[in-house]
Amino acid sequence: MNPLGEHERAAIREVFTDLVRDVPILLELGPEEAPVTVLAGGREIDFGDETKLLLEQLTELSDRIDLTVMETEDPGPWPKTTVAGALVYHGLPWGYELTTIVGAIVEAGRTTPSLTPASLETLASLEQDVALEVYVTPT
Amino acid sequence: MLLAYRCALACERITAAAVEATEFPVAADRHGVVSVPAIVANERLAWVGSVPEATFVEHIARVAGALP
Repeated sequence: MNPLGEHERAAIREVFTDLVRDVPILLELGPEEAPVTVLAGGREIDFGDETKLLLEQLTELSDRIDLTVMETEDPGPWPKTTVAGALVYHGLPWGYELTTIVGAIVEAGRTTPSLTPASLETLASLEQDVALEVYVTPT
Repeated sequence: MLLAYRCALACERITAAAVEATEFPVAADRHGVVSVPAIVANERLAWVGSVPEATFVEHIARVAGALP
């Protein structure tokens, strides 16, 4: 599988020109909960391998992005991608979710927040931690 | 999902993770996820569906006890 076609590469490269600071990406691989899925047509896909290939291709599109890959034998929610030490994606960000990982990189590469002043004021008033998990699908 | 990421970058009290539901069905089932996007906040299903930024932040504030 080749995650990114030429058209997508060109579009993402253009988006990445907005990065004004470096964006480290950590990919953690290990024993997967659902290691292989058979897609329509009988082709098998390894989520970890595909995520690694996708992130390697994204890394090629900007000098601001640096990819580190770590492998473990311990079970866990792999593949796990962490952008800028904070923005996490569990699984293969394919299909519509490609925009999520690209968007995470763009957001991490900004120096100014993209939320409205009203939202920032509300968030600044929080006195308890909030751990968000957003369940998504590629279609 | 990007709103969650933006909030996490803007506020140290917030962490944000996307979870691909078809790859992690056990976790999705545990939280009662039947459609996406489904937002789990502090281990509890908080709301389902895309919402505007102001509503998203309002939901977070409510989870954090900052709103009634």
